[in-house]
Amino acid sequence: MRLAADTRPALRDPSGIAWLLIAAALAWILLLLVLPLATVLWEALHKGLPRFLEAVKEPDTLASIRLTLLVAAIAVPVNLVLGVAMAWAIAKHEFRGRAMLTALIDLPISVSPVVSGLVFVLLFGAQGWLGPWLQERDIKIIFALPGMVLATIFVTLPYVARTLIPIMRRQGVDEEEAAATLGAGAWTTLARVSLPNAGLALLYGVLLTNARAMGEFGAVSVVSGSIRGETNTMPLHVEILHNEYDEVGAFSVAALLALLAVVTLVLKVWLERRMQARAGVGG
Amino acid sequence: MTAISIEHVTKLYGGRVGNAAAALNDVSLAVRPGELLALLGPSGSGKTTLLRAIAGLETIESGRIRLDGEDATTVPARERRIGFVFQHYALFRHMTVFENVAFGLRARPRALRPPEREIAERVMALLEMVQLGAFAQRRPAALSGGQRQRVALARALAIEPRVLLLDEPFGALDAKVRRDLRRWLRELHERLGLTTLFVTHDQEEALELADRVAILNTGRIEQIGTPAEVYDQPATPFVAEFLGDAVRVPARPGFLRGPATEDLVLVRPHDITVAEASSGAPGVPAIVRRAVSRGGARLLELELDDGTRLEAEVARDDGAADRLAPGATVRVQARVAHRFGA
Repeated sequence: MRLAADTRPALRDPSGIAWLLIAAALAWILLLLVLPLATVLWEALHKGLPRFLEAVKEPDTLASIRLTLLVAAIAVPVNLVLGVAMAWAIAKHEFRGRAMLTALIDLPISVSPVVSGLVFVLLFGAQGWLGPWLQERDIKIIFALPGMVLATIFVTLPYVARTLIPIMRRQGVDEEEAAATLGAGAWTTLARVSLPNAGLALLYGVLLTNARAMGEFGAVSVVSGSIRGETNTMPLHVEILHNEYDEVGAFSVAALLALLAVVTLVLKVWLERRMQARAGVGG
Repeated sequence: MTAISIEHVTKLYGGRVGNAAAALNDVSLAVRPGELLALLGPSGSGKTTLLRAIAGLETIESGRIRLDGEDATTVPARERRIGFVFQHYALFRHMTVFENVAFGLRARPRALRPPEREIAERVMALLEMVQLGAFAQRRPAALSGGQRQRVALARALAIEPRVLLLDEPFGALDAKVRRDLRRWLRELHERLGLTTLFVTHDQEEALELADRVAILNTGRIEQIGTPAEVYDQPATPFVAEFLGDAVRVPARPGFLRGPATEDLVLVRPHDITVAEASSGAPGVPAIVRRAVSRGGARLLELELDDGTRLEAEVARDDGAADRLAPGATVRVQARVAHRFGA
């Protein structure tokens, strides 16, 4: 009924093809998205809530949760600053090499995370280019927290910039020019005009960055070495538990990650609604 | 002493030297303190570019821009202390009207920033002046075009600018609001005495509002003068044709007063005398082909005895409709003609 009411008259199709397509899409989503998510929750909880809590409270699991939160707590702010800087440069300024920078931002998305991880091993590992120099100074990057943070930052680099650039472009530079004629310097303009205008898009970018940072497996797996209780993040811990046939443990941690995904999704939908509402009011 | 002095300013599109298209081509202009000057020209004539260059929003390839005698050519926009009102207002959309107007004061370095209480007083005084005191807590999206325009003006005035620049200030408004705002701006200018430049493509607006008008065409200034000067004594054919109607007429003795030796003669339709053929008035014979009433005037399409067609505008008095009906033979002469050599 809603379909008929909300669809433009020209697109209303009496033959039912629209219904068929919607049914197919829903079935597909059910099979690929909802069913696996339900399975994860079922596997985690079907032996009872106490078993689930017990699995989560296991010391190595708690360590993996702490590590995941720590990595995200470093990577997200770093990428927030970097992302804002890149978006501002690209969206509000003209300079040589801008197109190049725009293309480069996408690199972490287009390259396989495993390759990204390997690059860091190649750079900072014991046999890597900077390995001997780092070893002399007793600095550990690979198989330690710095490497995992670096890999996570690399993988999640595009998200803040990618969400900000389109909205910053669309808003043009009129308000920034107005700020300049009113005596505002670059920092004031960024902090009081450009960023508040991007507002919800910025929050959205942070949300995506966080979700990806906590969920990242490939790149972090390569640089972490998966030392239990030390360099094991939640996704890596899931794999270890799974390989050890600890299904309840594996699915309990997986359920936590899935929960994060659901929260992210809900927030995302909410933010999108808010952004649309605001765009509707703005002249 | 000049408030703004533009000296041989040249600006190329895209900043490429050697590219034939110049946005501004050797423009010089002296703006007197306290005057209201219009930059008038068709779109693409460089008027907005010139305004933005004065504000420091465009870089120029050569020439100088002086403000109150000081060289400001390379001074960044934020240090020029120029009030700029953008064509589409460019209000800060996420701030209230109050915050918009307060922005320039709050953005000052700490040492020069007035205390918050004084900022509030000044902002409210400005909002009262633009008759928007009741709208302080609204956001720009909740205002009409004319109200936004006035907020933009208050915001520009808040920094106590040395000059005020307005880019197409009435461009986006409907006719009625436009007229009201025009009169209001003129009054405001007389009250504040602030040197003001505004850009417009509307000749009527420029002639009615400005003390002096600078007419731009393809990046050059064609003429600067009072509205009466530029209208009555256009320096170039472009100026004559751009400021109101002007028809090209043959250089014919009899039709023009005095000798007719020039290549190009332009006459405004309302400067043509149309008399009955029997009256014995000077001029050349013509036939009325079409007659239309427009407001208080009557527009006549005339055909001269040599086949030339031209338009004349005469006052619409009671008998005119009968005497100057289509088919009537008349005698016509140009009272005023603008003559241009080759």
